[in-house]
Amino acid sequence: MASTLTIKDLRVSVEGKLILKGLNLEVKQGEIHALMGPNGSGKSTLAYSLMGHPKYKVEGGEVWFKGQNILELAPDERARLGLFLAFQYPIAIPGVSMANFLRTAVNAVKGGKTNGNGGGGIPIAEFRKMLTEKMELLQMDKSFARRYLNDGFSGGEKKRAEILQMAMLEPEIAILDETDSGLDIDALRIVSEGVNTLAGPHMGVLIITHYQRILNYVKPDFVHVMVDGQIIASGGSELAHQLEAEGYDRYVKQAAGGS
Amino acid sequence: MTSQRNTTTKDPTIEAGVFTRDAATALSERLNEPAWMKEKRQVAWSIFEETPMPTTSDEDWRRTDIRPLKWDRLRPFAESSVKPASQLADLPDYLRAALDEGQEAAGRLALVNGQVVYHELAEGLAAQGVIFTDMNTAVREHPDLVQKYFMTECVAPSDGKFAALNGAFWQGGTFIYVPEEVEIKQPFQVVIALEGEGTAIFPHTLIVAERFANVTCIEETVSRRDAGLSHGDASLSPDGGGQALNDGVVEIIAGDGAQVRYAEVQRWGDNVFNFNTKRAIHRPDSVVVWEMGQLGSRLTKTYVDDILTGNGSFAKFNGVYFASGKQHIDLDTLAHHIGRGTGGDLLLKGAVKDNARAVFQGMIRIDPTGQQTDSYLKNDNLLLSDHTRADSIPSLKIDANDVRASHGATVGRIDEEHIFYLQSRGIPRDVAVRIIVKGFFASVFDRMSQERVREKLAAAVSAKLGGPRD
Ligand SMILES: Nc1ncnc2c1ncn2[C@@H]1O[C@H](COP(=O)(O)OP(=O)(O)OP(=O)(O)O)[C@@H](O)[C@H]1O
Ligand SMILES: [Mg+2]
Repeated sequence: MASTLTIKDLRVSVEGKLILKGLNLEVKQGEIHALMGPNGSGKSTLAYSLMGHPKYKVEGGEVWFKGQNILELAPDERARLGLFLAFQYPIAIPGVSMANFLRTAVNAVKGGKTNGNGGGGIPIAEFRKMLTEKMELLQMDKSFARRYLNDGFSGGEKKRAEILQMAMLEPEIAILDETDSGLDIDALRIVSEGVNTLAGPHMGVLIITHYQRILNYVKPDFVHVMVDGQIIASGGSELAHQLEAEGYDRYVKQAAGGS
Repeated sequence: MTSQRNTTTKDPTIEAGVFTRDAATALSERLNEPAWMKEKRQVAWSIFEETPMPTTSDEDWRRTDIRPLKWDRLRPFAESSVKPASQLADLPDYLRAALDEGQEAAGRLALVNGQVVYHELAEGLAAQGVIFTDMNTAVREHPDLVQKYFMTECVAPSDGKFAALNGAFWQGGTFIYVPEEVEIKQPFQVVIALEGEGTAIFPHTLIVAERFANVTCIEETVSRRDAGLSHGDASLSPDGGGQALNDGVVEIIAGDGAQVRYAEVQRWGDNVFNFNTKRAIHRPDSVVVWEMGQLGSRLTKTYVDDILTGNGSFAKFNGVYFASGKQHIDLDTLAHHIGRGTGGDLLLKGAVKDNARAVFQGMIRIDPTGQQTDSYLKNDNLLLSDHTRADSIPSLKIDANDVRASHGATVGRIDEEHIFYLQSRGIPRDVAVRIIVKGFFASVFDRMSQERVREKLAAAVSAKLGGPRD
């Protein structure tokens, strides 16, 4: 049976300010959803909250995944359950090589090894083979494996590295927070192809974006419009075209008038 | 040093009656030393008597209070429980590990409580004129060289209370002499061990590298509280019982174009009070690289000075420290640029956890003669608990106009965003913290020239962080 991420009436505040104001959404394994909305509407807040960022305080609601209310779980437990977030602004960690980091992460998520000990878990040869394959898929230079995690990476390289991590961890539900922004057209195509290869029956995707651009490559089954901490409209891929042409004005006004 | 003389303060070392002029003379006689060395000890003792004990009112001791050290509980000499061995295999495990048994070395020397228990020198080096021996043997066998360099132009008894005490009571330490143009590929490996409670040791190392010589020396320090037994971790009793003292001096003379790498892996037990005066004198175009890991001791105060007299000489420092428990680690570096076109590149990174404290003071000083100097000093500290403290005080004193000098210091905690990022990839919080701390040190490890030193320090950092070994 396909895993489902079910968000029910989620209310989240940041530094005392309520940002998510009762959000409902369901993403199933195998589905592609796009979430669009104006700056500051709370898209990243949703992404961080789903992953369990300590700064985002859950004021109410539930998030169900694989039979658990994951709001009670630590971020790493959520990841090991099969949830993934590609960060809008990936974090650079100097001194931690991409390869070592990925091996620790892969062992934690897929190998049942969470103690950070380099040995055990997935055999090193198997890991290397997998890493080479995925890097080729994303047309990343081999040297990235030796570089420090996101340290000195360009904006586009960081985004590609996020997708590499997703490819290695093979989550059941992935949230991509503006992975398309900062990518030139070639990089966008490569990343989109990567997402398409990984998406399919085994992975559900929630793509957060401002632009129709990525949706030309990764065809969404559903498009949602988020304004002021709530999803106020949902539809098929035609909704994305309409938003790109008309902007969010209508929805913003509707949200203001409706409350 | 800016010491204020205070006539009302009694000198605890002299009060204790353990270290006396007679004791220094007795040591010299017991060791059958020539008159000139006996004389050097006497001179050092006189300076020691005249020098006030540093207190927290002295600028460079302001953050390091040594009053917990109980001088009356110390013994100036102690026998070694380890029997001298002619084979490395016959040494106790902890000494063999410290000497990196299994790796190639130009020579090996093991000293326990100042006494030689093992010595070897790789074949062929002696024929090239290389000397590698313990300091006491050097006094007997190479008096001209020792008389010329021992506390003459590098470290002097007048440098401070502890340098003077070492000058009067030194025993053991390493003597290395490398003739002109002799390049030694493998490192010399030395272990300085301290056994027993109440023991005081005074190792004195002297490295002389002649023109275009190239040499590496790795010194590791270890201690065992109970001789022959494994090192206990029992906390110190409040009366200061169980304390031990290391008061060391290292003198490096780097000749024209010579390259000297000196590494120290400091892993004293948590009962050891550790004071060191280390200095390199740079002739023109010489390079001295310090590689240092400060991991052990109850309290450490170590000075590392580079006196860059020679034009075009260069000093490099790759240092890590990790203080835990109740440890107090205080490092004090000086890059003194006197020659033209000299360079300095010092990077020290430290982590502090539990109730430990770290102090770093680093000075770049450029004399009017030091035009075209390029000097860089960086110190970063990571606080790993709420009860720690780290002070980082870099300073510049520049009296030349055509120079580049910069320094930077940071004291911070692990960024929660970094932990969250790793956690979001399935890595548990405690593992994430360990990964980040190791990553913090990586930029220093990456610069280290000695793989075996780097590996040891990385393993020690892992051990201090807890969790599985790797
Ligand atoms: N860590 C934070 N600290 C303070 N305020 C925050 C934080 N994160 C989000 N906010 C606030 O919450 C609101 C929603 O921000 P969020 O980043 O979720 O918007 P977004 O829809 O992702 O915007 P964008 O399209 O610009 O990425 C904004 O008003 C923002 O300032
Ligand atoms: Mg955002």
